[in-house]
Amino acid sequence: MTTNKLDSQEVLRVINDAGADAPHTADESREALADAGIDADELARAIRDDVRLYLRAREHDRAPWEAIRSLAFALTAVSVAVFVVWFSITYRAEIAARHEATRASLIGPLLPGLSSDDASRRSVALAVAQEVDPAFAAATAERLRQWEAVSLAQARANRNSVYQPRILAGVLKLEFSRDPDDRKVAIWSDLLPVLVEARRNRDDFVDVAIEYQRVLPLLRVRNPDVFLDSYWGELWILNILLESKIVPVVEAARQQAPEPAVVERIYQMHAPSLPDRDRKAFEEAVTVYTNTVKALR
Amino acid sequence: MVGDADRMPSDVRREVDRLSDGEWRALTLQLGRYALQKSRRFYWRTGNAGELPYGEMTESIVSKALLLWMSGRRRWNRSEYPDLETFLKAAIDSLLSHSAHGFDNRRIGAGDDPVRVNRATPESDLLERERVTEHDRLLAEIVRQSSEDGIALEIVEAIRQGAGTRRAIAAATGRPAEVIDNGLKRIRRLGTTIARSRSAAGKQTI
Repeated sequence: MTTNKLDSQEVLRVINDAGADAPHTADESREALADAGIDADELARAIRDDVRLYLRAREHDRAPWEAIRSLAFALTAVSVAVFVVWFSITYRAEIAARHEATRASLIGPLLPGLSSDDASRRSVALAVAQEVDPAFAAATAERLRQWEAVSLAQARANRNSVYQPRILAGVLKLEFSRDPDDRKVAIWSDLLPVLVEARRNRDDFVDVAIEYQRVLPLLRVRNPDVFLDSYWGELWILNILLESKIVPVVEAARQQAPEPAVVERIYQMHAPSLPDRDRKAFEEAVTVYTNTVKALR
Repeated sequence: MVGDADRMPSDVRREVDRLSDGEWRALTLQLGRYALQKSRRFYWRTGNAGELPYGEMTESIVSKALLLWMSGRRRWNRSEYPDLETFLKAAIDSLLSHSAHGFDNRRIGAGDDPVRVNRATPESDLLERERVTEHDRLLAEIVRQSSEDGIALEIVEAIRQGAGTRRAIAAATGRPAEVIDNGLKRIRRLGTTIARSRSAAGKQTI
């Protein structure tokens, strides 16, 4: 047919591009996508979710002073966490030494273990402490859990400098703050936008999704103490992790995922009091979540 | 990633609010198909469903185009693009062009640009020769299998003579635009099928 090799390439390019430019019916477009292994409905839904989440996140974008406040809060929270661990251990040890010499003599040797970098040593020390002083052990375990959350976040922050500061800011707010506004900012401005943005690059997403295993226990999807308009943002986070196709993340998300009926009940309870736009957003999040959970079965 | 300055402009908000669910589905369907076809060509560089060059997914390239518009970073000039779909297709072209100029895709021509070959090496020269030969074979096979399709043969010949757009092909052949569009779609489908069968037979072009 052709003797000019570059011509063949150009002819193919024009066929492809002009063919793509030609108007296609919905059926033709659907067929073209299916031919490439893409479900048109799924594609439309994913694009809609991307856009909606992104816009939703932007609507809740922080004012500059809020960012400064969050940063100050994060730094304060880290300091408090370190202080609390130190204070709890030393203070209780001192009290025990003063008033209960026997207990102190038992707990004292556990302190190096409790403050060890080795998780297994900490676990053993905690188990022993449980026998000696359950209250002390419970308080220490809680402090250690918080300390670990901070340490882990800081360690990973070095690996992903783009997302980690925002993840850390979100986790710290969820972990330590009881201010509802902080929770909203954590969900809409920190954690959900990071997850949505990371989805654009699979490598980033895998890294971020694995990191979000720490976020999962902090979500209050199953039983929110107080209903906030960040609820369906949390639902979106859970949903994205359920759909992540990353085995440990999906498993962890499934453990946190309530039955759709539970979410539906929460929707029924709170949706009537929401503005139209929020109610629709909430409804869509519930629908997507329900479909995702069903698909996972 | 997007600051306050990038909040949705009011004209964009109005357009978004105006779109019904059905229109939204139709729009994303067309944009998804367009992004896929514009990026894949016949090369089949990427094996995963929906994956475009440079690690993009069909979904993400369409989402990015929409977000560029919604955030106000790409303004819809209605005198240049009569409808939203045409405008967003141009945005997709722009994104694909950027993507194709990445290291991984430097051999794929972007949009109307000629094929780029940067920093040629003996190995890249050999690969280039192999690839060009494969294009010859693919086009020859398209023509052979279209021997009963007069319109398709006319279209190929018109393109070979320099017609680079649908309008130019229609002018060169004297055929109505709709006939040319359907012919182009037939040829494209055929090319895709042939490229895929050759790839499955272990003759992947790249």
